[in-house]
Amino acid sequence: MLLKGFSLASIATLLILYACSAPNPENDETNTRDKMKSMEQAENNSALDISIPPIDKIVPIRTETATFALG
Amino acid sequence: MKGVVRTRVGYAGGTKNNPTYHDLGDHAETLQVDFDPTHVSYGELLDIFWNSHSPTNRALSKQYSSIIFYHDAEQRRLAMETRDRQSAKIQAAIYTEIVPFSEFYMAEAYHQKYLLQREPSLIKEFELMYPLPSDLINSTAAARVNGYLGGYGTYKDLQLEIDEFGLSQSARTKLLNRVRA
Repeated sequence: MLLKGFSLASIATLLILYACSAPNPENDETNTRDKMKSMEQAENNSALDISIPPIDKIVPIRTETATFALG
Repeated sequence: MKGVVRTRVGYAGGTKNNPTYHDLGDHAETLQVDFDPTHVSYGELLDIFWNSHSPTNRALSKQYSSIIFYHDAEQRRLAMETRDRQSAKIQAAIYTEIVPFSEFYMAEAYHQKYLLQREPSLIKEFELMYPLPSDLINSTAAARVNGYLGGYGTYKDLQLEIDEFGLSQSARTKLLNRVRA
């Protein structure tokens, strides 16, 4: 009787563990959505030219500084 | 303005060490410009200075004072000369102080390129180009776009140089529309 009870408890535990690890179709959908979102984001970023702007590559030979307080 | 290489805002003219916006001490809110003298002269910057604020009222606090911080003897001479000329032109006393430059404290990052920061789609592109705020502050492209957003520079000027700013097509269109409006 004790053995039977123990076996039932073990089976129940295994079933719970399986339920937790089994793929949830809802989670799958969320993961796919997240993946698509990050792919879209990556595409958007690669569509932008994120290199340094041409004007910032030009370094003037000499610069001067002016400092003002404009009220 | 062609020849303006970098701009930054901060605090100067006081004695307090490491001022902040909420603890400014005796400093004034200040703009600092690095410029290429082969493209724009200090005199031209002074013209903008005199025409972009009203120096005829005594400032109620040091924070909002009108001050020219000269960096050398020539800047001092030009500052005094243009002050006298401006005073004669508007026939009023001018309360602008002309003092030697000593120290400039950079304002907090959220004050830098203020108008650009208010345009999410434009600032996003600059932040991708320059993840570090210090690099963004030193960007000529960011300074110029900020200037155009502030109403400095014409639509035609912008058309001529917009390719140099490294923006996407949608950001270019947005900026052109803003300046044309």
